[in-house]
Amino acid sequence: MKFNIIIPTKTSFSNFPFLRLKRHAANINRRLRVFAEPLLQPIFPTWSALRNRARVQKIESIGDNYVRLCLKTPFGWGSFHPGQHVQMGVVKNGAQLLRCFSISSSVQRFRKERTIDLTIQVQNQGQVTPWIKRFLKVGHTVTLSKASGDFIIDSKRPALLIAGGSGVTPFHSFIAGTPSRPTVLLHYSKNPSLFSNHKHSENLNVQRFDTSKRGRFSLEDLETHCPDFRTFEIYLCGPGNMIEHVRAVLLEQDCDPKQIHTEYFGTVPKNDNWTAESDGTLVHFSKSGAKAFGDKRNLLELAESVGLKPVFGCRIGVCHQCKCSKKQGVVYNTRTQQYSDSGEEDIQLCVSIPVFNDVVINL
Amino acid sequence: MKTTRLDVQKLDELAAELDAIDLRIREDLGEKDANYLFAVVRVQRFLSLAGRLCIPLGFLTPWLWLLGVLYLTLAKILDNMEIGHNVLHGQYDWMNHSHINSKVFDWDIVVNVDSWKRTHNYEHHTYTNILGKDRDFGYGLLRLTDELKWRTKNLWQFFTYALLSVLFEWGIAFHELAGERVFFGKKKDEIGRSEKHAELKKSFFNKIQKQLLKDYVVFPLLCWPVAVSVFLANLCANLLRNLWTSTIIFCGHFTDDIQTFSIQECENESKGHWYYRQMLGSSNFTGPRWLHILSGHLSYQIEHHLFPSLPACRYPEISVMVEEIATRYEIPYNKDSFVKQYWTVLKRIIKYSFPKRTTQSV
Repeated sequence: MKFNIIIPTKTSFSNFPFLRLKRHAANINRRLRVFAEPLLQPIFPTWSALRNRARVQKIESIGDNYVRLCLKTPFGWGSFHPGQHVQMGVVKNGAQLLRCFSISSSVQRFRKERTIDLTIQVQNQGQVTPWIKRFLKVGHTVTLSKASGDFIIDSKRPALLIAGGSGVTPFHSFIAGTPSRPTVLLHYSKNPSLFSNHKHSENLNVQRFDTSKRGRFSLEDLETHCPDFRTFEIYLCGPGNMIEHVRAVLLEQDCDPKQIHTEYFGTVPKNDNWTAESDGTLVHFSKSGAKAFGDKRNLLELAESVGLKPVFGCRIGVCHQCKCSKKQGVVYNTRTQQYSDSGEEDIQLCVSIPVFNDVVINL
Repeated sequence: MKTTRLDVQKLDELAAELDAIDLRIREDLGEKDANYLFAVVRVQRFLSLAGRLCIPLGFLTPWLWLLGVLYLTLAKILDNMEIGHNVLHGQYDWMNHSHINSKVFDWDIVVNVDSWKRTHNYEHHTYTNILGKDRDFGYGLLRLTDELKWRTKNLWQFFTYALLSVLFEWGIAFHELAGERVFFGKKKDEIGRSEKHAELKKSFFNKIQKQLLKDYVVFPLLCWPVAVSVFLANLCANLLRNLWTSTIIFCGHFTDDIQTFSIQECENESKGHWYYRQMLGSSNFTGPRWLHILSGHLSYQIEHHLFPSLPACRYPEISVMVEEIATRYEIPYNKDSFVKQYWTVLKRIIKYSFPKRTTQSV
């Protein structure tokens, strides 16, 4: 046998512990927290090693389809801007399910009480929201990510807010903070009276439209209630088709695309009619920016077809080498014959077929 | 000794029945399984903490030192087997937990997790007992079947085995690098090999460095006046854990009646044949519940190989169904007590130390 003993290369020397103290300190801190979690959590239920936990302080039903949660955020959670969302996690039958919700309370109240509100639309066929309505109680803990999102309602100019349905929730966070600039809110909903509890102020003009009686957004509404809309910063939030419609109208009226900010709303309900055969599902690979149209191929083949090189092993769902984080969307697992949840979770690429629109994979 | 192979139709039926079990258990997973895992993790943390506290107090009485070593060994065994091995198989990934999942979990042994997942989860579990593909069969050190050519070094393979057991975690850590011939051996021609090797070496040394620092530098220094006794205690705990895991793992695949397969047999194999191969290539052992837990439920090796990503705490109930299926299909279901299975392992290692005796059969 020929011996080719190779002396450790430079890379392994530069890993010498004392040269990377900061990273090591963070690592040790993490390991200690992970070690301590099972011992400390029975005593401090709101403490968690890696995820922030919040205590449910109040639960309120709004009509039949909405629930408002008031959460006490933990120390060190950070702050937020009106319009941003958080990812909330609940443990349902042993599994952690994560969903994004917009914060609907003001920054001022957060500074005073460290609490935030989430106004949640109950999706009757959903996995999480009906569960929240039925089983979540005051005193329970949920996990809570830091606030994130580029949809930040914070402009030097007057603001025009146009919302569809539950898309009004991020605007509530802004309105509740008594805006110092002229603000116009146009809210289109089947049941607009549900969201009428806001403080009136001289800067604020709130118009609610019942879509079941008078149809969708039109240019007339805009000209009646906010004739100077071209000088406003415009924020749109609601279902995809509503946003597309309003944006098209605004652009026709010579609005600058830069003054329009959008946030697409609406969680994906789980529907029994979906099959693995439904094709034409758009898959986004978020790290590389690549996109592909899903067909009956699995995500591993799909990723490879657009030139990505994910790690893989057995390609039959045994070895978990190709495990990858799915940010959103529903996939069908051909090995377990189960549909995934629509929130963020890890999936096996080689046995997952995208089934519902806008599957986002972290690749 | 080889059993007659099942025909294609039988294999398809077998696959359908086993798939049904997989589906049924998977749909039933829930809070119970999550709570079981959390309970085991909590016990592991208690043992670990108790061990680390008792060891430095050994200067009061050596019994405390011994107790500490015992606690620490048990903690390390639980972390390695019932928690680490099973979590890294993705058995609990359905829980979507922040750190107890196959992507970020790390264990208290010198084995780099990613390297292990490649050689164990992928190679060993996909190509179980296929000679030439499953490097876990004898770990490239032992000859455990006549299908492999006899070499002189096999004469003293019992001692190789004993040494492997003592240094088990190091053997596993080095496993992939040995196969890729990173340090010695004939180089394989492969594009991008040097980058791959650099990557392998980096993660290999990184993990070793972390473990050595923790057990042999940081903890002894933290208990400075009794540093030597802490150092020795950690060494003992690691050694005992090595012996235990090695023994358990050898009982799973190297018992007497285990069968091996050739690459040709398994080309384009059906799912049924894959299942069938897993059943013939694994063996179970029986014992009290604590034995199963300390073995990470690898005492149900057959079930583990059929359903590697189902939570191991379900294997006892699955084994009843699998054994019934095995009887119906007349597939050997290799099950015996722990001691008897281990005895056959030792016999097998000795038996194949010597070349095949062809002359006798003539």
